[in-house]
Amino acid sequence: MGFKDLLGKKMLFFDGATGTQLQARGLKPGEIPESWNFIHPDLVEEVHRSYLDIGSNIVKSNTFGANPLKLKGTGLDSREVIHAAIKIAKKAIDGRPNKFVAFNIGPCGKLLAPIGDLPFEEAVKNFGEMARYGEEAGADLILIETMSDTYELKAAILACKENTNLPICVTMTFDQSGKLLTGGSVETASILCEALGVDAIGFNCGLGPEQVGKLLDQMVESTNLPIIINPNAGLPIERDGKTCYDVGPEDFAELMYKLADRASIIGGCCGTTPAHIQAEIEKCKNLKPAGYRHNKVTAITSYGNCVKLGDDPVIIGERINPTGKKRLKEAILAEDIDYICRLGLEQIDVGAHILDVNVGTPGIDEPAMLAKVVPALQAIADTPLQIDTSNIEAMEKALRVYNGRPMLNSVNGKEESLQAVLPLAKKYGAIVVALCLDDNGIPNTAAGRIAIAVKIIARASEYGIRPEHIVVDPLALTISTGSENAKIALEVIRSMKARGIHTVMGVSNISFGLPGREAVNGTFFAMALNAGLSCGIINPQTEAMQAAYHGYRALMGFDEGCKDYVDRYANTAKAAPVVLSEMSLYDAIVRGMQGEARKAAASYLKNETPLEIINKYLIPALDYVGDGFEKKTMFLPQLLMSADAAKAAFEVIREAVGVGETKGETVIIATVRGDIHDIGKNIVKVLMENYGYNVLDLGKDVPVEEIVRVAKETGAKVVGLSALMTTTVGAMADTIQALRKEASCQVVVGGAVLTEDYASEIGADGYAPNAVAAVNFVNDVFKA
Amino acid sequence: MKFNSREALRYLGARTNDKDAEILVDTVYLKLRNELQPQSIILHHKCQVDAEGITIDTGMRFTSRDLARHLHGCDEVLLLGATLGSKIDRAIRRLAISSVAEGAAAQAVSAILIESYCDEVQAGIDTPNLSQRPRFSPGYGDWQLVEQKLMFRALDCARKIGLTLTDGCMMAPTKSVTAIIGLSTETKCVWNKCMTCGNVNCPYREEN
Repeated sequence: MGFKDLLGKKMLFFDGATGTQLQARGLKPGEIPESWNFIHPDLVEEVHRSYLDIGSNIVKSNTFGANPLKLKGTGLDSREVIHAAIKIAKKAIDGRPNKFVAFNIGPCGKLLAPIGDLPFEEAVKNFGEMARYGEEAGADLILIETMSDTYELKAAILACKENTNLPICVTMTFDQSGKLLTGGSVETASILCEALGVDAIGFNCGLGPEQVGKLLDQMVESTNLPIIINPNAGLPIERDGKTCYDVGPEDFAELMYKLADRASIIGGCCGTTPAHIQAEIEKCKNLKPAGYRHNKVTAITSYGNCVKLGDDPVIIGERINPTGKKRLKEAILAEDIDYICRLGLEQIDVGAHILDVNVGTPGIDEPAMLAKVVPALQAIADTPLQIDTSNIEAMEKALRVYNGRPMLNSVNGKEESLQAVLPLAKKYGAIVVALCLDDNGIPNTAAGRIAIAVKIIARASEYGIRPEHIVVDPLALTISTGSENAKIALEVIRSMKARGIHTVMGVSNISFGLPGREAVNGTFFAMALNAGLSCGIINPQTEAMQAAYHGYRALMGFDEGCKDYVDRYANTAKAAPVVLSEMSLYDAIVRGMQGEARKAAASYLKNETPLEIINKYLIPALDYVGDGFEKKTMFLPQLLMSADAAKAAFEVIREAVGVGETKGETVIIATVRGDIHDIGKNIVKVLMENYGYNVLDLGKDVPVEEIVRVAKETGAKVVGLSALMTTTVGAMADTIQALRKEASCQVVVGGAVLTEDYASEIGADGYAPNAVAAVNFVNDVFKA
Repeated sequence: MKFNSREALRYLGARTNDKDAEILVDTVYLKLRNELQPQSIILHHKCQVDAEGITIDTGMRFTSRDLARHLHGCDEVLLLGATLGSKIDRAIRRLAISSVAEGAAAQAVSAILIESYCDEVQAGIDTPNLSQRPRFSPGYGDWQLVEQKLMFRALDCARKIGLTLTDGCMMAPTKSVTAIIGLSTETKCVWNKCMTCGNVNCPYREEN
């Protein structure tokens, strides 16, 4: 019988430690264990046999570090290592029944971008190569183990799925508090693995059986998959410069016995020996495996946060959607990702549980844009996202780079949509929004819409998508054109609720075309919640929506002791009409007061043009502060607070009149290749933007060619380069040389290790010891 | 983890008694302290120091005259790897997007926190009869940054504490430290780490 035939039906046993056993046979610290597949194949085989002979069903191939990325520079070839290792393991099994080779894949040793520098697709490519080698060499299953990052895990699982047909097991390494090294939890990691369609998941390394025991129930509650437990022989203890594990075979077996009732495969990791595994098998061999369960959980996750749909309603922030929003459209066209991120943060601050992300704007490359915005939002917050697009290519790109189990908006009843969207939802494990419309449009009866929802649910099940992974959108049409529209939507919600299907709805559509929309929206939201709406796509920054949400939760007992309600409303009465002394915009900026600057800018806009405001108040205030900073009468924190205040005022002006009128000359800035320090560059960016420049920020670790390309394309007159390390000044010199050859622009450089002499030596036109000097340089260029 | 706000203010370049800057730094600290996921590894090795560098007992050699000078007279060293984790990198980015002042303060605060965490990790290591010299890291003085690769191999940082190296030898997560700490019988150390560093124009240089 194959591995999958036995999984969950018979208790299976992994082997124990391989590394520990190789060390006992002479592997030295610092020596690459995989090299033993060539120099000591007999000893590797002996280790496998020592486990197989005492009853282990599965041995892990000696390929933990065989990732091409890790083998770079070792002289070893990934394919050769993997083929040799699997051959040895198969030889050790020697045709015995119910024994399997698990092709062992460990972490690649790099952190994925944006936290590290390894691009997601690069990780997928390397894991994919490995997976192909493993399958062609004859492995029975894949074990992705010792994973401590959900994003790398996703890359590895996708790679295995895309390149092989082997069963996939995943085991992860948590700390004692149940966290992965990159912040993921037992819950979010388990949900991700199941969403991506692996066959079994569990724990390995890091902890002993006792500590795993404290986390095990979290995993049981988060997944339906069979569970694997491969712990260390206790926690590591340093003794005479060596790592030791103190739990002996009998104790280990005893502890494992207490956990095995919730597991389907057990074994061991560091410090465990054939004696440990033998004792474990002796104790647990007659236990029935826990196998598959079927909890109906609907969870949307990021790497470290999980939002579950249920009776307590969920708020999806709707503001990252350019429909009818001029400022956001401009930001999308200008690839101003920071602006989009700020829209996200503002909604999170007022309680959005999930953010809808829609960047569909005419004239942009939507797939590329969405694939940029999704990781950018995930790099700053752990709020799960709803990927919202009708562009199938954009949908797949975004689903791919998303770190977690996303919500996907949307599929509908049209055949074309079903065929395009459902396979993607299945492959990437998304919770998919089903719109109640089809080729005939949106039915004007509840029964018609319910029929479409039922059809989509049935079709989804053909793709292996379960009903709890579908969220039905009844579609709110405006009551200004159809007086039954609200009632129809509510009836669909009630019907779905009765069938145990979750619902989601863009609430504010209901009042389209009416004056005073908030009153209708708030009331309708409360009605929808009462009908059983699971999540509302709303603007969480509107009071009417918040009132409906908080009122509903307090009334229905979701807000224990009305705590959230009290937190929100206890102080609002007192805060009523405080008359603020009117501060001038100039003073507000000089004193670094964001709120005051915003108010002043808004009031000035009534009487003066944007350019007047900028030239008469904003820039003189910035000049004053910049001057003070250069003369050392003002210090960095003051400069930065002023910059924040000026930026806030600028944003008020732009929200009111659009970017066009205030858009100045183009300046390119970047931190050079190899350098990931961007704080100085970011300060320069904000200061320059405050002076009205159109700053193209290429980010950090930017290749020479990219800077040259943008300089040529835009014809920018100034490029600002930053480097913080002595080691990366070389890249700065290379960039300047390339710019000299291919573009005509002035280059200003800055960064901690640079001096004026050094700057001229590498051919820069200007040297900026600080951000103010960089701005002054640029001002001079454009004045000339 | 102890937080020294005065040091953070110094890193941020604030003037003395700048109340606004003090509030800024304290606010940012409160926003960051729940984002810490500190991890560390420390190994104890015998070593031999010569004029050009040091060799530890596994045979690994680090080449740097400044490092050798710093470790002069030491027969043993500690190798340290420590990180505040990747959540704090996200948090710093989050603050910087909303406010350049908070972003800069977050850099200063987390730079102080990682130093303070290293101090605490070192304090927990029992080195009887030997005193610990200040930390010395790749990139200090003439110790080439590329030797981070050796440090990472010696400490198995990626697997043990989730700390990785980019192709350009930068650490990810960013709020991290690797260092060698000399152990010597002299009870008092006469150098601070700045004094063995050749970057005499560094704005953070501390004379002692």
